[in-house]
Amino acid sequence: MTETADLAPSLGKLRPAAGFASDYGETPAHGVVARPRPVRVAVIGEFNSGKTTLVNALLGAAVLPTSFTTHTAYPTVVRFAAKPSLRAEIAERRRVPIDWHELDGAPAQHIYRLHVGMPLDPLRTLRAIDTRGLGLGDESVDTRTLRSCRTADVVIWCTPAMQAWKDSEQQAWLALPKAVRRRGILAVTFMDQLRSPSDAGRLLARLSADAAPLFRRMVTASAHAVDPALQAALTGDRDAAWG
Amino acid sequence: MGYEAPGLGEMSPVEPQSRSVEAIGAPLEVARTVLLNLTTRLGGLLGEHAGPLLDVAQRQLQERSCRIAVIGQIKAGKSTFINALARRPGLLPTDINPWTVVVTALHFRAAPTPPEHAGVFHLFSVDEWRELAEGGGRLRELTERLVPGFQSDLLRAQLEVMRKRAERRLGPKFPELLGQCHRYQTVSPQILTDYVSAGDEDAWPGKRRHFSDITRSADLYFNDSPFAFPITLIDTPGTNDPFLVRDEITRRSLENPDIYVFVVSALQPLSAGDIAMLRLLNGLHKDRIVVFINRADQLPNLAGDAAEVKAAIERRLRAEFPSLNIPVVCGSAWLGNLRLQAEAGGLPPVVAPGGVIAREPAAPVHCPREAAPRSGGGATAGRHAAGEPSRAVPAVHISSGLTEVSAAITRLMCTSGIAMLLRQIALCLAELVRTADVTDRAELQSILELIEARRRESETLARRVTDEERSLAAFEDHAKALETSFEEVEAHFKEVIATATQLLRSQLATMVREFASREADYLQQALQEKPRRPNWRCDVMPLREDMEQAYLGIVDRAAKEIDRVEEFLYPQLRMIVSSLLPAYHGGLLEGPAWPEGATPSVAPLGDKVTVDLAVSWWRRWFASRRICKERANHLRCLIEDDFLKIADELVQEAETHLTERVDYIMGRVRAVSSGLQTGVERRTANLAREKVLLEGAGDPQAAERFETEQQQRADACRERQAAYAGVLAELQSVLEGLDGAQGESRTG
Repeated sequence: MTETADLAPSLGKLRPAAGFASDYGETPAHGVVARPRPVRVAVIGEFNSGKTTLVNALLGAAVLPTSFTTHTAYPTVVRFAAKPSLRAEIAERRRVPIDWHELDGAPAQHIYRLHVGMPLDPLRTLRAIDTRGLGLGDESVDTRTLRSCRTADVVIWCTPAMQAWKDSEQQAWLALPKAVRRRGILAVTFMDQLRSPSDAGRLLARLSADAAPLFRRMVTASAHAVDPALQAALTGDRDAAWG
Repeated sequence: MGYEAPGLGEMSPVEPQSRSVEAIGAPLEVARTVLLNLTTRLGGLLGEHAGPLLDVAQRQLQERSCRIAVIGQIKAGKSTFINALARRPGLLPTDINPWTVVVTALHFRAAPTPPEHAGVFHLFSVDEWRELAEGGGRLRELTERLVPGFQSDLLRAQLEVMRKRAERRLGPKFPELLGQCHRYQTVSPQILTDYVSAGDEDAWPGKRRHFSDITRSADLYFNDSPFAFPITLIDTPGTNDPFLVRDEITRRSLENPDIYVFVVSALQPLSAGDIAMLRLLNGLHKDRIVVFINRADQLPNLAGDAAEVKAAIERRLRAEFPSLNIPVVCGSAWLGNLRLQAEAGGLPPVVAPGGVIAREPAAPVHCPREAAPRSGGGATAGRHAAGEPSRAVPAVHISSGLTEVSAAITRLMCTSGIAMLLRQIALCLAELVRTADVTDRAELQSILELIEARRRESETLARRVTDEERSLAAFEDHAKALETSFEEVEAHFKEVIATATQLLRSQLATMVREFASREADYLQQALQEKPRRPNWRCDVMPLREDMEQAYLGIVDRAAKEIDRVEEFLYPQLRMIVSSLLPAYHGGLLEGPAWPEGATPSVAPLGDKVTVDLAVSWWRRWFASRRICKERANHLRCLIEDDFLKIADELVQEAETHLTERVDYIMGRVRAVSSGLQTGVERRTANLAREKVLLEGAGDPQAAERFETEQQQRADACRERQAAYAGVLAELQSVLEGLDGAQGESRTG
């Protein structure tokens, strides 16, 4: 598949959102190299569109559990930490340690989101926010999810190659403010599920015409293996990768 | 057969050929064939009076097919599914992009001769095209009402694209093509692609003309059917298509079908959009839906996921529609097609409608999974490739699900309108035969009595003749009275219908107005609390449900009243029968004529209304009007306009339904009464000759000849009676068969 574009360079070209300009820092006065705040990448899309898989691919490791039958139950923030950690955010922004298997079963009402810390290199430059899938039927959840990506620097919309870009996706995306959409990347996921290479070309031709104009750029991603090109970009020379 | 389709993930050497499994609609086809034969036989056996009813029955039996609509979101695999179900891999064009843009009906009917045309394509009329391409169809109409003067950039751009594309593909003079109908003797995949596929932007090979933008409908005819019963499969463009115009085309095709196969992708099953569509269908058609979870072969962990996805969907459906039992089948139409190709021995030629081989085999199917078997699940291990060409069969053996879907469809057919129609025809034929039986018995009795009387002495004969005359005169009186009561009953029926429609109209209108003003109040409240982003969403589903309930309730009450009056007719008819044949105790005109459970159409309730528009449109609406009161008023008008129109349509549907019912009842009683009348006329003629002989009484030879003639007529009566008994026994077994099939499908 020749079309597989890698995501990392395009992330690098994006500056944090306007509201966080101070975070990013003004040009340092004394030649001190300012360490930029990690770019916040929110991954959104309908359920089973490969959001969690994409986050794992971005990080080059299976950090988050993926499944076709149980959906991501809590928004999950993955950031750099010296030691792996998993904490649940509950009322009053308190974070309590928790274990993955405690999260099995029905979603707990009192957990707002999960915080995952991992000693992974890519996390030095990006913070990934995995979200709950849209279109499962609860409108209030969808509204909250869509609102949560307003503070992200980059918003990646995942659309699965086998059933790409439906009207419900287009409607949800267009309902976001323009400022958010300008930071948007369309990721066509599960490219490895296509049944022939020519399918990929034809699909991307259609999406380039119909969907890509609504985003800053369009990339492709594969689900079941971490794309070598993507991995290389993430683990390679940071300056080269992030411009 | 005792064969059970293997569960997903289980290993099965080869899916058995579907021919060893019962073909779709087999139980009903048995009934249909018997009934069709009987209509022909009865044409000769019964008198002229039965002609019209027999003709109608015969036409229905010949022409009515079971309509199965295949619906679902874009790229769920609807066309692929149809190809597999019809056992014709590669028939309908499929693609990675939303490809089907035209509602395509595939008519399957086993017949010795090929149909006159294999493919018929209707292009839009000038008006339809103008409405769609320039007006934007119903969606534009709705959005225009919501936010006047605002035309979505998206919709406008899409319409522009559509017009330009039609021009580029068909030339600047394409409007001249509008209104045409194109017919083909044979249909090749290329022709189908030309008419029903979206086609790639600017990449159209050669000089072929591509009509799909301006094609309204496509009909394909096959005389070589893989199904037992005549079946019409309807392929629809997917819903949830970002190309908004197509979504409207699909909704329009939802009204007629007997059965729906709702195809969802195993990868994103039952999204909010799917549930909304099922709600709509449930409102429209109750329990005639099969859910097919397609693309199971693409699940990452075959063994576990498929079963889990199926269970999750069943749970969800039970929660959403507790009163329904929607069958759910998990499988892969893609796999079904591959297996069909393998069965045929390699890659088969594509068979065109009418059985004509239209082109060379398709290119080998690319099968990426075989090169790189999945990690998860033990299902990848076994490869029972005995006799199967390995290139076409994936390493993982799972059920295509097609056998199960076929069985589910057959079960639904046994409780559908088709089964009801067959039962109605059987009952109607039985009624006609019993009437003829009564007539013949009476005639036979009268002949025998006359012969008997003549043998004794002329005095007895004279008395017999007078008796017979009196009995026939009594019949005439009854018949006259009956004719009067027919008229009275008909007038009463009309009154019942008029009252019901009037009541329905006023109830529905009140319902709509009350709902609209209540919603307007809620909106006003919400706006007062949060003027900028009110916490408000209008759900018109309860209104739809209330309207449906009122509609069905009133129609049902009217139907009961019609049944009651109908019952009143029967004693009169039975009285006539007993005056003709005092000893007759057969069951004639026992139950109501109309099949139980035949409900009127609720299709108008499925119309998309302004309030159904997506959130983004409403955001624009909130942006456009400032004054809170004005907004509430506007909302009220929107709801009233949309739903009062629907109410009108429902009233019309009710009227049509009840009128049909009444017409059918009257048709049946009239046929019975004129059947009796014919018999009486024969007897009167016979009697007249007897009287001539009695009065002349001279020529002994004439009397002898007459007696022989009478004997022959008596024999003919006896023969006919034997034939009637045979027909009734056959009809009885048809009815029992239909009952059995229905019972099985309910418990199964």
